[in-house]
This record gives sequence, structure tokens and C-alpha cells, in this order.
Amino acid sequence: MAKSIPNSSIKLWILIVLSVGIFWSNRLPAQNRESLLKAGYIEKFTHFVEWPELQQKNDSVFKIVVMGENGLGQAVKKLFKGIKVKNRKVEIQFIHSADEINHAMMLIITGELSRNQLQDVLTYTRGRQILTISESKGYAKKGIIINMFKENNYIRYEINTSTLAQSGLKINSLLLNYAVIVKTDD
Amino acid sequence: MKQTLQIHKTIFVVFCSVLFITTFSTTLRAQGSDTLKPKDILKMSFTDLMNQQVITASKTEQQIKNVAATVQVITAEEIKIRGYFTLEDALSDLPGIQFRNINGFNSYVFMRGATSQNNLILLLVDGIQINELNSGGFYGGGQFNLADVARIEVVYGPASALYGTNAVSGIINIITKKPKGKHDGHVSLLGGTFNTGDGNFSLRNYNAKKKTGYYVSGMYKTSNKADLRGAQGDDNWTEQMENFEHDLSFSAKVVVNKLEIGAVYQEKKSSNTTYYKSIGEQYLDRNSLWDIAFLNTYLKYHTSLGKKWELHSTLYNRNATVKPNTIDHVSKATDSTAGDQVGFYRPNHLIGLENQINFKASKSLMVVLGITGEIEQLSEGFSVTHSYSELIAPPPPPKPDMLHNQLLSYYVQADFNITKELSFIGGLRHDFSSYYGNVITPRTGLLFNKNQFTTKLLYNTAFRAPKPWDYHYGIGNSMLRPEKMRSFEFVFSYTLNNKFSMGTSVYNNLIRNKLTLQSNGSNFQWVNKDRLNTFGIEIYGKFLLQRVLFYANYTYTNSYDQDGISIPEISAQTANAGATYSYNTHFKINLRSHYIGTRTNPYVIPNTGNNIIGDVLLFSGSISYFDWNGFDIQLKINNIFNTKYFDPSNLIIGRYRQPQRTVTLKVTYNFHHLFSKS
Repeated sequence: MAKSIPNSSIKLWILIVLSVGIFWSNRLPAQNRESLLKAGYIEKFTHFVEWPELQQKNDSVFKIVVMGENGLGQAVKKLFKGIKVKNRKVEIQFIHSADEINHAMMLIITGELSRNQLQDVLTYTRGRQILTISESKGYAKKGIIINMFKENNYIRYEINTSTLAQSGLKINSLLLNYAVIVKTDD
Repeated sequence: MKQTLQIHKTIFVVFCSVLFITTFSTTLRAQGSDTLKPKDILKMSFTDLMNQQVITASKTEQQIKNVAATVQVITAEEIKIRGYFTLEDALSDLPGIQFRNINGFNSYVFMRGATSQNNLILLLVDGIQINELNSGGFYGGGQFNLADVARIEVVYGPASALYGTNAVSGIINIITKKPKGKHDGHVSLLGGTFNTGDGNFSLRNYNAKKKTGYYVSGMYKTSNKADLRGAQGDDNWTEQMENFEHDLSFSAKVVVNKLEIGAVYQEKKSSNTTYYKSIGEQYLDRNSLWDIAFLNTYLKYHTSLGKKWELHSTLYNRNATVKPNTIDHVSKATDSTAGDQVGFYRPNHLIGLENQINFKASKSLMVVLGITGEIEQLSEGFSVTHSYSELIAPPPPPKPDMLHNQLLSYYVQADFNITKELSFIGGLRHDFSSYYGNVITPRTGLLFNKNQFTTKLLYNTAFRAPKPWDYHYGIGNSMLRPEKMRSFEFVFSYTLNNKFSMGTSVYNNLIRNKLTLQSNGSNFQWVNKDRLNTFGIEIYGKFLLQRVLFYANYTYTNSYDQDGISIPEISAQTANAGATYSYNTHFKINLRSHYIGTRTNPYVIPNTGNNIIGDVLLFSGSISYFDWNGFDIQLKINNIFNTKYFDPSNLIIGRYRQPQRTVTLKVTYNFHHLFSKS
């Protein structure tokens, strides 16, 4: 019962694939999906977190500082462009040391920091209403509030509830429901 | 032999070409191809975002705008707010879908102007077919637990290039909820007119640290569906007729790291009275029972092989047995005869393994390679027993003779981003079956995404293989070939933001070699004879105005055969429109309307003396209050104005009366309220 095949259409298809592939393959766009998705998570986090101090302030700006070197910083800049957080205009600042964090509501650590840099950050942010977010293995256990990681090709996140409690920030339970809960290493 | 060689030669050339492009592209300055944009992410809910894969793939996770087909999605939220009760309920608000609802053991869904016994649409639950094995058609009705559904993806047009046989008019993929989040679940009860009832539950938990979780759910549903007795049912049935449906459904899935084990069981017990006319005929409309059970079990494994390779492996087992306690019909020729109850039994079984590799050759090229092997055992036909009494059940029929078939398929699809906006999709599938031979189905498409605009130019093909018993039906025909469809489609859509979106699809479908029952005196057989040509336009849109979400769609369908004669049962024009008013996140009111234009019946309708089924406008609605201390309460009314309307019939029944006004009340308790307190 072998059946005939539309040979001519298949050959035409092959020809199209080859010619289109050869002609256009050097015109490729740039984008980093993983960083964009992580930036998306960060934007969503802002909906589920409350900064009690922020309600007392009259600031018209929601300040985000980014520390470290990789594509996440640029993705965050791109994603937050033109949108408001807590009804405030977003200001994004790229910084190099913990001293520059002042008055930020959110610190994003992209990639890994040196041990000293990380210790400075943890010291500076401890007990302050600054949502710290990272994307490096073990950072939540070290004291970063939210750490994102990749699992089975999906982005997931862990929350350090000890640091969270110290910070005075309020997190919606829905965000906790989907998180891996960790405590700070003693 | 020459043809077979030619097939393999062609496939070899295609594989080589894909590999060539793969190799060629990786050597170039690949900078990324993903069309995911910040604004796409901002539109997503948190759950949507959690479901985004870091690497997109064909036949796995893709954004709709990047799929080479028109896709409509019914979300869990829509199912909840609109209170859909059956699969057809959920499909009824979509463009391009029409029905022949016989209110009995089955109900038939027609996509894009092609009538069938549900064997031109592939129905999947979590990616695994649940079409009945012997006939290749799926069962409509209430056996689907819609509380379990995360979303229903309806893919329009032929898709055999990825899915093989039966994916002709389209695919309906029911994607169920996964184990995720901390302890959650629900229990709900529904009651309503026509003895309608539904009780269901679910329970789930996921431990992200241990990467283990489970999801279990169950449902029992029952309904008499409509009053079809006497004049209400066009005098087809007596005042004593039975017309029940009892549905049972269980599903369970367990996730352990990269492994998922699951089972879906559905059992539908229904009277089979509406299939036969009882007034003036020999059939009785009591004591029949159609009992069919579907069991899908599976084991899925997926893993990343480095940054570029992904393996998805699925071992599945399918069973769709018409159980031996089935009583197809009860007959009694005259008052003085004893009558007869006729028992049916039709077991079947299939085991399959599908391995799919997704290869992200470069940031501009994704290649999907898959291979599927299946072994099935099908009944040669129904095994039948008689009781020779209208009052006594027949003995269970013996197991019928079984047919053994094997299928080997492989497919390849390349998704190539030519520029940032323009991408090309090409694919091919080769099926080799021990009973219908070789079939090759190619597809190709160009997709253009720029800013808010998406356009698609698509060429897709598909086939429906004859089932083994088709070859032997009547005097038999060993020369039967698969029905084949080719489709050209143009899609345009515009999404301004999450408040406004619209789109249109224009297509031309041609089904060749349609299986037609040919009779020559008392001899009859299936032959490949007819053609079905369809030209159609679908226009759809959504608009959020403050607290009201509006949706509307319009469908024009012109289906005609090889002689230019319009296909019966298909209306040229249908339209749906609706709105959901959200006073806040708790209180919502939904109103939906459906317009079905005039249809012709295949046969003259005795009650009217012609074959016209008039057009109809229907309204349905629901009022819901969600999350009141964990409780959801919903009042739903279908056919609010109790409009008398009909669906066509391809049987001796002239036409099928559709359900009168149906009122249901549903109360749900969500466990998250309980767990969040503890």
C-alpha cells in the first residue's frame, strides 16, 4: 500500500530552505532570553513586595541599583523603560560598590561578586528595606533575599526568609508559595 | 520498490538540508533569534512567566505568534468564569467551530467546515492522543474534568507534519494543571436542572527543593442534558425515554526531578437512545447503555544535553475500550415479539514511544527531530451478543478477533529566524504503517512579527488514515488510501497591549480522496472518491474597557464538494460575542451569545418537510463570587431565553433538538485558604 509522494513540492521546499538559509543567516538579531525572563521576574516581584518605608516617603522615584557584570543589568534597563513601580518613575543606576546603594529600594546583583564585595553588600543592606536579588548559586543562603536559578530550563527562585524578616519588607504569600525557602548559613 | 526508494532518498535530502543549515548557521555570527520582547513579558501573568522555558521549542513551548498555525487558547480563568461544563461548551465560543450534538453517547465537533465523526480532529490530553483507537474519532461530552485544565490550545488547520494521522482540521490539546506551588487543591459540588450534578476535587503539592510533587483529581458528573421526550424531541422518542450520561474521571501525576509519571482515566456511561428513533421504529428508548472507558498512562522524561540539546521522551499506553456491559440498543419489532437487547464489546490497546530532540543550533535556528513507534491491537469489529428479550441483559460478548498494527514515524521541523522579524518554518513527517503504508506530510510557513503586528503565510498538509476495519467493511476495499488535506492560510493579528487584540485568518482547505460509502445493490464498500473544498475567514478580537472584557468573533465558511454542492450541516456564517464584567477580583458577571446561521440537513426533516435548519441566536451567562473565605459560588444559565433550536443529523433522526434552558449552581472550596492559615 505504499503511496506516491509529492516529490516536486518537497524539492521546492528544500530549495527554499537552502537559499533562504544561505542568504539570510548572517543577519541575526541579538537578545538574551534568559536575562529577559529574569528581568521579567524582577518586575513581577515588585508587585508582590511592599516597602513600608516607601509609603511614608514622598519620593517620586523608585530607585533600582544594579551591581555586577552581565546581561541581566541591560535586560532590567530595557524592561523597566517607561514603566512605573509603586506608581513611581523608575531610576536605574549601575554601581560598583556597596557605598553607592544609598536610597535604593532594590539591589540587583548580576553574575557573581567578589567575596569582599558580597560581604559589603550584605553588611550594608542588613536590616534595611532593600530588596536584594541575585542570580548566583548559594547567594540566598549567604543572605540575599531572592536568588534566581535555572531548573529544567525554567527560571525559579529561592527566598531567604531570615534576611527577609530582618529587612522589614512585606512579601505576599503567593510569592512565597512558589519559592524554595532557605535560611541564612550560620 | 522504486517509490519506497524515492521516499527515502527524498527524506535523506531533507535531513541533509536541515543539517547543512544547522552547521552553516552555527558558524556564523549568531547573536540570538528569540522574538521574546520586554513588552511580551510585561503582559504575562506571574504564572505565565513561570511557564516560560529559557529555550523555546517546537512541539513544546512556543509563543502563539511564533507557531505556524492559527491558535486559540481557552484559559483556566475563562473556564472558571464562564462555567464551562463540557468540552463542547468550552469550544463553542471559538471561531470556526460548529457542532452536531446528538445529546447522546457522543457529540460531534466540526472545525473549519469539515464534517466528520470527530476523526478529522486530534484530541490530546497533555500531548497524548485520547481519540478512540478503533475509529480514530474522539468522544465529545462531559467526561473531561475541566476543573483540571490549565488551558486548552486549539490549533487550526492541518498538522500531520508533527502529529501524524487525524490532525486534519486541527488539534485540541487539553493541558492539565501541574504539581506546583505549596499544598493546594479544591473540592466542588454542582447541581442543576435536568438532574445535572458534578462533584470534583483536586489536590497538589510541589517541593521545589526536592523537585518532587504530585497532582491528583477526580470527578463524577451526571446529566440528562435535555428534555427530548415526545413533542419536545420532534416526536422521535416516547415520553418514557431515557437520556442520561454519567461520567467518571480520575487523573494523577507524580513528578520526581526530570521524570513525570501520570494516568488519566475517563469513563462515560450513557444511554444510546438518541442514536435511534423509537417512535414508529423497532427500537425502544430505554435500557440501553454505552459504556466506554479511556485510560492513558505515561512516563515522560526530559533532560538538557548541554546548552543546545534537549531530549523529551514519552512512553505511553492507551486504551479506549467499549466495555462488554454495553447495550447498544434494545429493539422490539411488534408488541407480540419478545424483543432483543444487543450487547457490544470492542477492546483495543496501544503502546508507543516518542523521542524528540530539540536542537538549538544557533540563536537563529531551532531544529526539532522526533521518532515515534507504536504497536496497537484493535478489534476487527464489535463483538456482539443478543439476549432475545427486551427485558433481559445480553451476556457479555466474547473478545473479538484482534488486528495487530505497527507504526514508525519520524519528523523534523526547522524554525529559522531569517531576520529579527521574519522567520521560516519547514517540516516534514514520514509515517510508515503496517496497514496504510507510507505517508509523507510536509509543512512550511513564513512568519513576520513586528511591533504589535504578526502575519503568517502557511502551507500545511495532513492525512487521515483509513482504520483497519474500513478495508474490510462490506465487501471490503484493499486499495483504500488515506484522505489528504492541503491548506493555504494567511493570518494577520494585531495586539496593541493587554487591553486590545484582534486577528483574522483566511484559508483554503482541500481534502482529497475522501472516504465515501459506495453501494452497489446490497454490496457496499468504502472508496476514495470525494473532495471537500473549504474557503473560510475567521475574525476575532478582545477588548478590555475599564472593568469589562469584551470578546467577539465571526466566521465565514464555504464548504463544497467536487460538484460544487454545499456541504450539509455547515453554516456559512457563525458568530460569538460576550463580555465579562469584573466589579472586583471577587464578583464577576459573564454574558455570552452565539449565532449560528442557517444550515441544511443531509435528509428531509419529517416534521418540516424540508431540509432547512433555521438560524439561531442564543444567550448564556453566569454570576460568580470568587474567594469568599476560600469559597467560590457560581450561578450559571445556558440558553437563557429557552430558545428552541436544533442541530443537524446524518441519521434517520430528522434533526436534533438542543437543550432547553439549563440552570446550575456550583460551590467550590479552595484549599489554599485552609493551607495559608495553617
